[in-house]
Amino acid sequence: MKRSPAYHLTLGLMVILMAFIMGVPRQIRMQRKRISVVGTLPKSPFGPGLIVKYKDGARPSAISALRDHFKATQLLSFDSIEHGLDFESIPSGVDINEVLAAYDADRDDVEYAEPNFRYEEDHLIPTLFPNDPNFGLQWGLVNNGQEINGKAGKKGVDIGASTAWAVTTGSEDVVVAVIDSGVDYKHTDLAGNIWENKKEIPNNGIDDDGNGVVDDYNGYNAVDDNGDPMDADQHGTHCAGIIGAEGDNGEGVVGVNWHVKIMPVRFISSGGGGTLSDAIEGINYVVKMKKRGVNVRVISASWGGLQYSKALKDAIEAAGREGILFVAAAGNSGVDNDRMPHYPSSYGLDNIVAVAASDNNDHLTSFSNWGAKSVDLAAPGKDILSTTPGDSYSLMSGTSMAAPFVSGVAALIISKEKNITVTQLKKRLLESVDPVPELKGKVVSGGRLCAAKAVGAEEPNVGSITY
Amino acid sequence: MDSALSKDETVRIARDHFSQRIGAHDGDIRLLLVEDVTFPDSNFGASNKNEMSLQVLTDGWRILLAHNDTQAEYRANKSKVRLYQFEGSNYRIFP
Repeated sequence: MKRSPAYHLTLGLMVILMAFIMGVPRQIRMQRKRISVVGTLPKSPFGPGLIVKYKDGARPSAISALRDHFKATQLLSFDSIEHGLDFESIPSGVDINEVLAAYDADRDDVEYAEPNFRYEEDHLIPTLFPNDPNFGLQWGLVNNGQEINGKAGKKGVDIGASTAWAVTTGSEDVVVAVIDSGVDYKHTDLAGNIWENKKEIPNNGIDDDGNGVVDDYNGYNAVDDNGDPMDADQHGTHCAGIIGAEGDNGEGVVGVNWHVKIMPVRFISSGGGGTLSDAIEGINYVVKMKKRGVNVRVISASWGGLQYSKALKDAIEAAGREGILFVAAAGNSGVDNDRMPHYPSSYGLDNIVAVAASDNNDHLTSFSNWGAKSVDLAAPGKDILSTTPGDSYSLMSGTSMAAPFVSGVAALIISKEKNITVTQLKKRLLESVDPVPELKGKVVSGGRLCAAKAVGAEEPNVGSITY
Repeated sequence: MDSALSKDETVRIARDHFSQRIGAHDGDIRLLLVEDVTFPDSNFGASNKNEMSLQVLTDGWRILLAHNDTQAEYRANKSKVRLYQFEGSNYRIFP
């Protein structure tokens, strides 16, 4: 059968188009998702805040009293439409119905008040998924309601990693120090993301860079005071994998960062504990390398104890002066850190982010410490799959696992905003959380880590967090 | 990493330590309880003063021993044994 020239032209264009699509294997996929025109992704039919029309002649003192009572903030005034018509935000977790009832009750001053209804539109939110075969078990990154360890999760209870990855998958220019039991730097899924000290020649028995440590090519071992930070346990390797197991490499799992540099620093002995002096020595190494030009921006610290130490606090503060964020596990005793401090997470320094653990249904885990004043946010910390020594993978639980999620997201932010300060970084992490009602009054931010909002892939929360 | 200890081996280590500590014959030590427990951290909630522990849930065993009126609680897993709150302090026993 003879075809027309138009037929052949159309067919040719289709072939070219198909070849183009198939030739971009890791292209960003566009996923249809409904988002609102105002505020955060919809979890209720209402957006944050309310629209209120004050009466002409409304008493300023009454308006202030209403706003103060609910910590409402006037964000916009629609005076050009009508005098006294405002858009006011309310803090996350406050019951909008309670607010509306109170406003409506003031008939002397309020003409009407209504929730900020969402006018939803279909938008395309870019997402990016890696090809790592066990990615589907990593509920903390993307939770589709999959069952982990016999318990089904709740869809969407995750850090929004696939959305964040459409913006950034990390950078090899960002170094995260994992001060822990060491790291299996030979693990197939980690090796490519392990920091290398380019000024040191490995295994030549010489301190080539003159930093006081021989052959510290991949990090530092404070226990034995040498340059071999191989994992003496499993823990440090697990934490490192959460931060930066290589992404889209067709192996095992994926880290919050597909690309990053992990600096392993061992201070935990084979007996499972670490001394104060070795912890300080580990921090000292990191600060020393930062001063020598290594771009270490985050220390991940999945450990702690009950003993206050001014020396450890001073060491962490010194790291802060060098522009290093210190992310600390809040502890696993199931207690209120405001009453029973856990160190280093409870030192209250500006460069410390204290992290509680949440599960795949957005509950604070039964073991996690909390603290309305002393614990900053929650992150996934139960049944977390990550790398373990000898090219293996394991599920582990603890605030130990939650902290590296936060360290990882901090690194993602830095990969995109290289000059962000420690203060700005901490603020971003706290203000970009997904609000979780159960976490209100339990952690400073009242929410769980959200990478998507932290890197600007989703709309930020409206309103501010006081901390 | 050290080779894995069995539950029986950790009980043996605990008995040996306890008998030496209180100067009693092993045969006079009574094993009251051995139970599976998930501890809150890598030191089984039995850190020494100024010792840091990894904040990971750790499966292990709680071993209760007694000699006359004196009791001791050992906490162990496949690689470590600790004595918990004995006369007000925690002790690292093995390794």
